[in-house]
Amino acid sequence: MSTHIEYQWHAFVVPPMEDLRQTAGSVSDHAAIDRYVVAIEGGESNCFDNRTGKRSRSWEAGMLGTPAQVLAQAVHFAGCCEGGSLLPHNKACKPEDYIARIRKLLQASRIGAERGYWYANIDLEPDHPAAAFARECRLECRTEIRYGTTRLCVSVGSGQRVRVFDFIDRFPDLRAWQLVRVGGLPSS
Amino acid sequence: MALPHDATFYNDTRYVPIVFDAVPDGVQANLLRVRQGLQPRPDELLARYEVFARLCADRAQRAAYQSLIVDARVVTPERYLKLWREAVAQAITPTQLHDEHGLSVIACLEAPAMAVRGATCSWTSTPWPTFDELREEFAAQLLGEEESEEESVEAGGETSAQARQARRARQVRLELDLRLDRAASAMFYATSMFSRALGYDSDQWQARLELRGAVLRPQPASLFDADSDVEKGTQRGAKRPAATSTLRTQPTCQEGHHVHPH
Repeated sequence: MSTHIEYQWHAFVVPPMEDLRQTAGSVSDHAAIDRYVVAIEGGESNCFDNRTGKRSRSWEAGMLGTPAQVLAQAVHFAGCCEGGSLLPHNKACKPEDYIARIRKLLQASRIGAERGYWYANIDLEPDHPAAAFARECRLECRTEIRYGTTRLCVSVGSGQRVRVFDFIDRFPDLRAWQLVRVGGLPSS
Repeated sequence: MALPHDATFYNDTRYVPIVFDAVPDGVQANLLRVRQGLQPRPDELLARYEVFARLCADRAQRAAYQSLIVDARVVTPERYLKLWREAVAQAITPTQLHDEHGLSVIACLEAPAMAVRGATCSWTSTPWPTFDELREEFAAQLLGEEESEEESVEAGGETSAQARQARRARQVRLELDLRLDRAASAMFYATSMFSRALGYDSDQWQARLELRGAVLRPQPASLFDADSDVEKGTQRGAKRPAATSTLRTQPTCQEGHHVHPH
């Protein structure tokens, strides 16, 4: 049995001015507030890199949205801490401490002090209500079959990556890694 | 509420978390479930980590959205979980729950009588080799039982296929107050017996907990004095309804500004 280890966290701040929903043709009328994309470097405890011998790890979008949405997603993950299946820095951690860690990360993040990048990569189950929403928004959708599973990939177009926040606002059951990918962050 | 160590095979403390929700008529005690209305799963004797996993799956997330408030105050999810951690540390016994607050937790076991006759348990630690012994020990708590073969023959002469079918459909129903000695154990091992005999996902059997007693209490006009401060962790001067002191650090919960049960 493996546990999931998290090594690093990084928050991207998305200021309201980048929020397309304030512009004409927007699909949501939510108040303009900062949004965040939280990237997490993590990996399984029993998977090792063949070359380095270290536990394998990678960066992935972990949480996404307003501070409240991000914290709610952090709470969801934190539920795994108490049982020991999620270990930040490979150490036991209380759910409260995990949530506080993410809260501090949001508070410490600043616009313009970012490393790396993030981009929209919307990957849905074809029968998820978000798929219908994507079509309703006239976003380009294409079906892909991966390992025998059908997925719906949605393209949001250049410069419109913040449209992912419309998805997370409407469908809180979606996970950040279904909507966003991250890159350019240093490995531990 | 904490259960004895021998309640399950795992030999650890198991909990039955109880939450006191503000409702229009007062304060209502509920078993902590992820969402009310869902079919209770048969694993409600929770390990400590399962209590927190359950909280993080639902209520603590609502605290993040400020749609769940505690004693009329907004709390952070961290603070909300800390309150529960204190409650778990001070968990009380089923007898204390009854004596102090008039609440009883009842294990309701129900299955087709014929199907579970002689059913065995997957756990070698079971005090009851078969369900028959368990049923015998708790005979006084038996609510329903199939008729015997002799009674059936006397009543109808010879047993028809229809009668046999009807008898198979008869349910054995046990209601065990967890204050009873070994009742929590019986809940755990009977669940295993039912699951083994009928399949875990079968809807033919049930093993669930029910909270009974004074689950609804009138709420005082004000829960707090002016100097109380939940968010800072102090609860000085809190005017609690009697039921809320069960979980000494678990105040009443209220969802959003619209008071209704969870």
